[in-house]
Amino acid sequence: MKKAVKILSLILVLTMILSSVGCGKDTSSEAPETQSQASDTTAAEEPSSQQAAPAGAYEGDEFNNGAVGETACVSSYSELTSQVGIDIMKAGGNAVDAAVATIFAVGVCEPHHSGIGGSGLMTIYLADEDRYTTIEYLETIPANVTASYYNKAQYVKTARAAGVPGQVKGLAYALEKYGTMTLAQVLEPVIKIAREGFVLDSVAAGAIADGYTEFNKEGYEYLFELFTNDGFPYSAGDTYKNEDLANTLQIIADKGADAFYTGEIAEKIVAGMKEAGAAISMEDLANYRCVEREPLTTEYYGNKIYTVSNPSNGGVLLLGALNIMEEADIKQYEQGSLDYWKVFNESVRLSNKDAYTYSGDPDFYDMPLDVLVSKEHAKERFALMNMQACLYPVPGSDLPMARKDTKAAAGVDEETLDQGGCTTHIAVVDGAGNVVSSTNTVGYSWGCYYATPGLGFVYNNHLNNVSWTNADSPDYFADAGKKVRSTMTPTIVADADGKPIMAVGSPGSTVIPPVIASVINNVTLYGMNPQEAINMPRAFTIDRDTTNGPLTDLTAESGRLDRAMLRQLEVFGYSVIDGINDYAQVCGGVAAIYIDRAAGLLYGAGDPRRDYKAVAY
Amino acid sequence: MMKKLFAVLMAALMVLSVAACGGSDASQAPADTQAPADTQAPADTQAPDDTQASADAAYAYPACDDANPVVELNGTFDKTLVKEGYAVTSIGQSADIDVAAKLLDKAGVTYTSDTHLAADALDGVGTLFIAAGASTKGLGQAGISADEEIARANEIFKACDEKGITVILLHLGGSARRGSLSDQFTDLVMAAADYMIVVEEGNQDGYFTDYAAANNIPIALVKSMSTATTPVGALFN
Repeated sequence: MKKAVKILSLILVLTMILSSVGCGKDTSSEAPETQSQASDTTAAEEPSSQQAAPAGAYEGDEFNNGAVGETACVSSYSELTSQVGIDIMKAGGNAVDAAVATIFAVGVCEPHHSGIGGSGLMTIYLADEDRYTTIEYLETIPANVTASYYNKAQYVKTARAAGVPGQVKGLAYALEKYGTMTLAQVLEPVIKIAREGFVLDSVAAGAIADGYTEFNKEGYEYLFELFTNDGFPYSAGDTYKNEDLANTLQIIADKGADAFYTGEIAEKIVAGMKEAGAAISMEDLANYRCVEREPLTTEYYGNKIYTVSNPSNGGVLLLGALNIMEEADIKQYEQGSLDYWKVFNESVRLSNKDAYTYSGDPDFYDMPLDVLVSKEHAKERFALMNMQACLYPVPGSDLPMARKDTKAAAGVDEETLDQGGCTTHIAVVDGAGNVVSSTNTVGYSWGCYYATPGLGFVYNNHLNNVSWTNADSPDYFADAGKKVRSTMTPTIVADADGKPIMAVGSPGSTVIPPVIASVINNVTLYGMNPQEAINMPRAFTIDRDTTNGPLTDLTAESGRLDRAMLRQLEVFGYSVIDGINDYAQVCGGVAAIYIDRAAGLLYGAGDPRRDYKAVAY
Repeated sequence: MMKKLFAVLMAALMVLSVAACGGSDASQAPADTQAPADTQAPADTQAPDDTQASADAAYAYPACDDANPVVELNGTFDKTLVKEGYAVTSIGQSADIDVAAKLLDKAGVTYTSDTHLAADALDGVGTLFIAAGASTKGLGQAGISADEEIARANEIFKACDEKGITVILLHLGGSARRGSLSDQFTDLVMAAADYMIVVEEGNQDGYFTDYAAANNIPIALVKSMSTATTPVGALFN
C-alpha cells in the first residue's frame, strides 16, 4: 500500500508539472500577439489608449470612465482622443489648444458624429480675464436654394441636406484668439492618428455596422470604400486608417482654414457638391463666418450657469428649465423620486415649448431671450405646472419676437429630430484654470451620408433643421447665410463668485438640455461626484411634434428604475418608452470635469452610455 | 483495485489540469481585440452590468487573433451542417442582416433575404441564417416594437422546429449588439440555434461560448465580420 501511495504521489507531481507546462505553453504562445497588438496601438496613439487601466478612478466610477488629476483634464469620446488634448497641454498648450486638438481627433475617431464637415459650439472660461464667452460655428444655409431644393423624405441622406460647414473656421478662430498654438501644431497628432490608424472601439464599429446598409447603395460608393474592409464593415478591434482625411487635415495644417473655405479643399467640396446635385458654392464657403457671442446665464440655487445663446435653442431650454425647477424647489424632493421626475420633466417640457417657439438666428430676429431665462418668466411657467397630471398640450408664452427686417416670425413648423445617435461633447480644464466645454456634430449619425471622394469626411445634414415651407418660421430657408438651429448646449457651471466648478455637455438632440440639467442637479443639489451624477438612471421627456410641442413620451432606462414609480408616472400622464438599454445612447452621453478648488483636484467624468473617457494629470 | 484507483486518479487529475488551464486563460487578457472586463464600457446597445456579470465565470477558449482568426468549438463547420434552401432574416432589425447577406454572396450561395420574414414563408427553406442583435433605429424605422419582434421570432422558431429547418445564429456586431435590448432577441435565437458564428468581441463575457458549451452547440468565433467568411464558406465548400 505504501508503494501505491508513493507511485500515486509521483504521478500527482508529474501531472501537476505537465499541467503547468501546458498552461505555460498556451500563455507564452499568446504573449507575442498581445505585444504586437500593443505595438500597433502605440504607433497610432501613444500608450494610454486601449490599454487596461485600473478600474474606477474614484468612487462611483463603475465602468472606468473617469480620471483624477491635479493640473489638467480632458473628457471626450475615448481615451485616445482625450490623450491628444492632454499631450497638447503637456507640451505647453492651454485649454483652448487642447480642446481644438481633441475636437479634431474626435472627428477622426468618431466620424459618424462630428467632423470638419459639420459644426459646433464652444463655451470658454478665460481665467486671466475672469470672463466667459462662446464661439458659435453652426452651419449656414447656402444662397442658391429654393423651397423645392429640399424635402426630408427624398434628400435627408444626400448632399442636399448639407449646410455650409463651420467647424474648421470656428476652431481656427478659437485657436487664433484664445489659444497659444498653431493649427499645424494641434493637428499634428490628429493627422498621425488618421494616417497610421487606431484600434476601432465598439461604438464606432457599431456605427459603421449601422451605416452599412446605406454604404452598400448606389451613390454611396466612397463611404463604402472608406468604412468597409474587404466588403465588410470594420469590426471593433480592427485597426482603422483614413488617409484621405489625414491628407485633408494636412492641407489645413499647412495652409490654414482658408484652404477649406477658399482654397483647394473648397474647390473639391464645391465640385463634389455640384456633382451630387447640391448647392454649396465657393461664395457660400467664402462668406461663412463664425460668431463669438455673449453667453446666456442664470443663477441656480446660488451657482451660476453659463451656456450658449441662439441660434442654438439648447441654452434657452436648459436655463429656462433650471429656473422653473428652482421655482418648484426641486431640491426638496429625493433625487430620482416620483415627484422629482414630475417636476424635472414638466420643467423641461415647459421650457422646451418656449425654446422651440423662440428659436432662430439672433442676427435675423429680435428674440426675448433675456425674458425666457429670467426668474420672473420661470415663475409664470411654474404656475402652469400641475403635480396631479402632466400638461398636454403644453401652453406657450406670449412674448414679442420680430424679424429684424420686415417679416414677423412665429413658430417652427417642422420637427426634424434624430434622437440618440448624433453629436459629441468634450470638456477641458488646464493648469491655468481655463475651461472649455464644446459640443460638435454632423447632425444625424453619418450626417447626410455624403463625402466628397478623396476628402475623407462626411458632411452634416443640418438643412434638415430648416423650414422649407413656412415663410413665417424663424428657421425659414430664404436667408442666405442664416445659421441653422441646433440644440447643442455646451455649459460651464460656476460658483456664486462666478468661478467655474464644472464643464458639462452632451450629444443627443433634444435630450441634451435635460441631460445637462440632470447632471447639474445631481452634482450641485445632491452632492454626487460627476461620475456618479452621469451614471444615474435617466427618465426624460424628449419627444415633441410641430403641433402640440413636447409630447408625453418618457424615455426611461427602466431596467434601473423602480417599476412601480414608472407606473405612477404613467398615471401622471406620461407614456413610458422602456424598450431601451439600461445605459442607453438615446439618453445622451455626458463629458464633464468637476473642479474641486478646495482639494486642488480635477475630477474628469465620461458617460458609459457612449464609452467616453477622461484623462487627467 | 490498484488499476482502478490509478485510472480514477488520472482522470481526476486531468480534469483538474484542464480546469486550471481554463482558469488561467479566463483571467489573462484573452485576445488583442478584447478589453478586460473591468475596462470595458458599454456601447450603443450595451448595458454594463449585463456584459460584465459573468466575465469571471466565462468558459475558457482559445482566443481569436491574427494567426487564428477563427476558433471553432464543439465541432467543425462543414457542408454536412446545412440543408439546401437558404434564407436570411434578422431578429432585432439591425443592419447586420446585410452583412449576413454579404457573407452568403461571398460564399456564392443563392438565398432569399427578408428582414421581416414570417413563419409562414419558410416553405422550401432548409437552413435559416439569422442576424441576431437589436437596433433601436432599425426597430423604429420598421415600426416594430420589441414585443412584436419577439412574437415573430417565436413563431419562426416554432416553424423551424416543426419543419426541421437548420438554424444558424450569426452575431456579427460585437458588443454594439449586446445589452439588455439585444440580448432579449439573441437569447431566443441561441435557444433555437443549431450552430453559431459569432464575432468574438461580442463574447467578452462568455455569453455565447458558455451557452454553446452547456448545450453542446458548435460555435465558430471569428475575429471580425470579414473573417466570418471562413466558417460560412466552409458550410458550402
